[in-house]
Amino acid sequence: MVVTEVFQNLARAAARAHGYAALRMLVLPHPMEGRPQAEVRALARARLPELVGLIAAAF
Amino acid sequence: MRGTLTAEIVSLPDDPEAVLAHVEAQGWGDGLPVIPPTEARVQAMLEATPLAPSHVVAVTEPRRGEATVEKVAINAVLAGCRPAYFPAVLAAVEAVAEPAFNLYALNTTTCCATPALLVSGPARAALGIECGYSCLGHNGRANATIGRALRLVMRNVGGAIPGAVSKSTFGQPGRVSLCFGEWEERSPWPPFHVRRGFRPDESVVTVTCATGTQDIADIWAESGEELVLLLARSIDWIGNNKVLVGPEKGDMLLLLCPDFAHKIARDGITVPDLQRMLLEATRTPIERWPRGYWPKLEQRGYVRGGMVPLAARPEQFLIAVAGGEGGHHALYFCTFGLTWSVSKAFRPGEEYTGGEACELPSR
Repeated sequence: MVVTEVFQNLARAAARAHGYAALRMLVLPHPMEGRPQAEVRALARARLPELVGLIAAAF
Repeated sequence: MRGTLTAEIVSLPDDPEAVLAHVEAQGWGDGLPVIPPTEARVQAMLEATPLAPSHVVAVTEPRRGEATVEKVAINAVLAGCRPAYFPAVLAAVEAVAEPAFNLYALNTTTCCATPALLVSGPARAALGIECGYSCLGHNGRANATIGRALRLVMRNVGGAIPGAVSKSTFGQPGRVSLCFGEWEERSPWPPFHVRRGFRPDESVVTVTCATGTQDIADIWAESGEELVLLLARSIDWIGNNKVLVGPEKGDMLLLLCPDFAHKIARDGITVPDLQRMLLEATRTPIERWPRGYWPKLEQRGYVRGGMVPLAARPEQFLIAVAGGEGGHHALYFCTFGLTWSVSKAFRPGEEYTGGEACELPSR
């Protein structure tokens, strides 16, 4: 799951309630909206290895 | 006795402040004083339904808490409900848990949206639900506590704890209680619940999403058509949460005072006419948005012929009549969009065996 930091507690509570307490999350800074597209793309590139690592850890 | 209760029993001093302090410490309340939910009071509430205390009325999101009849009864006592109100509270809980209402989104959104409870039919008189002067606030125990009971269930069972789960940026006063009746007897049109497919002699609670209650005042309209145009041009502001999700989604309530309703109906305008007129007159020219917004609205498919419609179909405008005879005002309940109103029938103070949902709009 990809979530921004202020929604992290909600995401964890919802995941727990739905039986996915150990769901792996990539936590991004908040807010994302309103940032220039170039900044969002740079952030995505920088955090991509972490995201791939979280997904790969499932296998 | 309706059956054995399963809730943990806590012994506290016979003192309202001690009870409130305990409720606050547990994070259960809304900040207002509560009625202590003693076993005797909870059992009295349970007498208003034939359902077993363990019966699950609904699974409430996002915690997926099971709203059993017992848990709803405890919250109804805390809220200050009379036992006679309990079937209405059960029906409201059942209604908000319908997938179409989208309780998960409502309980977690940054928006201030809350369920507004519109009660129709004989229950209004039987329970003393106010339909006239100040029916949306500071008038009557039924209005104040039925809505509050639902909100406490949403918080205590559904898990809508501000900050931790409910991300509502501001909340709103309606998140304490928002419940009122339609003044069917002063409406020129068929009652709200009859227009939604129920019989006139049925009592029905409708939950509809309200980001607030926007007042629309008028003393100058000389015709029904003029008044409808004023109403329409007062509800299509560009920062409307409904705009964010597009015209196809969500329905919204326009509550007319009896004078406004009669002024509109006097010119031969029926509810379907009014809905069509609102649909047409709430199409906003794209030029009203700053230029940077234009491609974003276009990309989402919200622009039709240079206009951004508030809704896609006339039925998305729900019309009801309530409020005092002084007139001069309508209230608009803007939706946050990702939700549809849901209606459930109930029998006040009699046997309640589960409501029947009205026909929902196609989507």
